[in-house]
Amino acid sequence: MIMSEIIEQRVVWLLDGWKRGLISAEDVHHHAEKWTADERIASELNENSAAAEILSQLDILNQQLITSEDIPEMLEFIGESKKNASEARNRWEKYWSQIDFSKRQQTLAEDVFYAC
Amino acid sequence: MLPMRIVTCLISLLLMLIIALPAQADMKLEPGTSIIFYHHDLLGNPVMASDHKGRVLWYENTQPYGESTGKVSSSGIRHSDNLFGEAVTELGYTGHAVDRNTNLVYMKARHYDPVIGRFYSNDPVGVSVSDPMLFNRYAYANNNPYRYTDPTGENVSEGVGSFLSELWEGATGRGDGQYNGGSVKENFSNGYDGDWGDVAGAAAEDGFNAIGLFSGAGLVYAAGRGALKYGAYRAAAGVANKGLVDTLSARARKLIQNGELVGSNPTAIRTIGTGRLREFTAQNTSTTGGTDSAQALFRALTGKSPTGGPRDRFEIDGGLEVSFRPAGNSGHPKIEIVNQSMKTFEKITFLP
Repeated sequence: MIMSEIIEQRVVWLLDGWKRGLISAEDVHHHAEKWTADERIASELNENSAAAEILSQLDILNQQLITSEDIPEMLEFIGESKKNASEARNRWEKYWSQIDFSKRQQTLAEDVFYAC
Repeated sequence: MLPMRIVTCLISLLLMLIIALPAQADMKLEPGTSIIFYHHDLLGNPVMASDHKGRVLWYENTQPYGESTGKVSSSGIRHSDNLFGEAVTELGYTGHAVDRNTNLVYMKARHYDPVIGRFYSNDPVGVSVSDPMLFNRYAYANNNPYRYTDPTGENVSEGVGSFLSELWEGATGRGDGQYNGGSVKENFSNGYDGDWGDVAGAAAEDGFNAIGLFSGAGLVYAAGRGALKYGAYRAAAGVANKGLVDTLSARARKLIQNGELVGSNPTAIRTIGTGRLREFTAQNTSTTGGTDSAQALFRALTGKSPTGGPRDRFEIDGGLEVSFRPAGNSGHPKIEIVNQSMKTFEKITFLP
């Protein structure tokens, strides 16, 4: 079992817990930061994998203004990338390009976690 | 003539001496060698190693689901496992073997990930409709890792924790006050909790299929490590007095506006592929000084003191966004700097 697969499972676990409200955005962020800082994970992770992409996003989710609304898309990205990687990637980029981040920033302005 | 019993005793004593004395001589160690003893807690987690002279080589704590908080030397310094050499045991969580490459725990029938507290494959024992605890076939120890262990990866076992719990109940007058040995046997056949299965379960059932590769530009995860030019300016380390902070302010602004960031030991350098900071270069760096230094840098950059509230993200001149994140759930305190004009993002962690 390689590290990419392990991280993928962990990322799915994080997203699932977040979706169910068992853990907060801050918890997700904390775990992602910890795994990103782990040199062994960084060196063995397949940098082109969906798990690596999502982990890097969760590592900075407060700056990227990623919220629980985005969880289904992230899970979809992981699932679809196994079937058709380039199509999944296109869909992923398209999803983010249509987000109005200015509006999100206003919405999250009073949220301590996102704002600080 | 001596009684037969005494003769037998004397012969036994003689034999013991013949056997024991050379054995004792064998216990003398060759120079440069040592015996390592591993000490475990009630769940079987190795928590300490000592040598034959009684010196502590390392100790560590384990979180409930088995994630280690790291080995600490006798001098109180936390190190990676590599530095402890042969003193590191292959035994890990609840006495099972650990794969040191992945940190997964081998529980005979299945591999277990202590970071997420779940197995990576489903329970080979199967589901019993009479026991809802069996429905989640990836969960560990009925989601009650202090009370149960899983010796084989197939069934939970109620162990010492339960015994102590019932003993405590007896001593304090709570519960029935009796240790019910039958429950140990009963729980050998118990399975797993049913609260988590859908998404992760489906993912795990999909198996570990090949992970797709993307043809797009994608992120370059750590690929550019060392390739980018960053300042190694430990701006905030140990900064405490106002005079120095004032000096730092001008210098820090200049450094950052020139595209040279603040921390050192850059890691996870990457191009951000999507989202608000698309095409920014991101990197994580670290420095020392803890909360004091983080606050000092924040003041130097923004002219404000962090409050711990939502106003701790400031947009300042030069297109910089500076955020302060206090220590707490997110670990060590951090300063995050988004430089809109240079398209860089830096996360600086302030270690103690």
